[in-house]
Amino acid sequence: MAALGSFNRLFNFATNTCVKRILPTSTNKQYYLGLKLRQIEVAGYASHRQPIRYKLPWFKPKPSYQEEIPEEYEEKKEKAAADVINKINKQIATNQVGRLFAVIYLCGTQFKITENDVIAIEGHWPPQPGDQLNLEKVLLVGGKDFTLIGRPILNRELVSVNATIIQKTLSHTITRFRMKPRKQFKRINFTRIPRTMLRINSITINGDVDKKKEVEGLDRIY
Amino acid sequence: MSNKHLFQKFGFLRAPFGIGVGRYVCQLQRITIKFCKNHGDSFGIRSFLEHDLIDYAKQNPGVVVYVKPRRHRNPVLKAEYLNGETSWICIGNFSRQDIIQWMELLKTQYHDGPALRLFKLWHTDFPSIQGPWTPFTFKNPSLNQIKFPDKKIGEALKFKPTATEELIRLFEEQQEAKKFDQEIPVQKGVS
Repeated sequence: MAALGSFNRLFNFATNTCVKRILPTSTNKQYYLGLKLRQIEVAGYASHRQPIRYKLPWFKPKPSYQEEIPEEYEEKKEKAAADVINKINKQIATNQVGRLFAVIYLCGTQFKITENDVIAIEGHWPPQPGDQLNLEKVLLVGGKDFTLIGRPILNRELVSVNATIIQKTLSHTITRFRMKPRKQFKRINFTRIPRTMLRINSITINGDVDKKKEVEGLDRIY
Repeated sequence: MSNKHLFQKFGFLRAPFGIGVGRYVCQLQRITIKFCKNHGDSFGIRSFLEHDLIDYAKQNPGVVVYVKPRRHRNPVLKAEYLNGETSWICIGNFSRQDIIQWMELLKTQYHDGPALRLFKLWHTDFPSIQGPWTPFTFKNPSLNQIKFPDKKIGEALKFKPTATEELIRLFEEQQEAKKFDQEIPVQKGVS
């Protein structure tokens, strides 16, 4: 196979040089014989099955051409976005957002929470009852009329979600029964998973949306 | 074996009213340690009483600790909580380390956790803020005006090209390949 490949390469090289010598005009079209041969093969049905995907299906392939964005369209869109953002900022400033909800990422799971919710986290987790937490991985915040979506998370300083640990306890006894038929194999195990309950104290949006601060992360300097 | 066949309490996550909203208050009010002075069962709890009980009581000034010796009975921990619930653990033949852990657990919870199977790990009083989803949310309002049967809407969904379309595509490709052959006649001379 390797020999065949190398032969193919040599062949391509030879043909290409020949083509260049004899037909200089055709070189502008950037034909490559190997590619062409393969293309002819491709015309058959069998080889036209779906190619192996190296990328995830929701990632669009990069266009080979230069994308041109019409200026007028962009302006219109920007104006619409600015209008919406202004409205949201007005609501936030006048405290008319109503009850906020948020989607947070905590210990490997996502929770949709609002104020005064109670959530339970499974597994060993160090915080103790009475501890105040600031949940920083906020994926989404929404009010009655708007939703802010993080890509993947929102700015840590834009949204603050505060929570208190209220309980650390165990789950009910979970039975894990395994059996293989006709193999004389039976196991029964009992487990209790540690659970931590959290009360969400507040969800607040601090300051204007879409405004970038000059200096960020000052609260993190110790 | 499913949960239906277990005689076990089940329910949703709940918390005593107002816990964690303001200042956190330790929910454990009273803990009673019952043990025997002679039996080997109580060896662990006796060593706990000797070494760790004073520290425990000092660290938790809000908790009343009762110690109740009784002859030739199993040692037991009984916790009473602020909301009136109780939790009871038999600690026969437990080691000192085990008992330290169980005492800690009784302190950190507000009800007997293992007695209740939770349906969900989430409790809220406000399930939806922007309104629950219905089949009509985010649909074009023009759908309201349509008279059924409608040909365009009633069309079957097509996920793959039909055989006819596939044949046409193959034919077109062949034609292109032929055109390509004609464009470079040199190739035949070389090979």
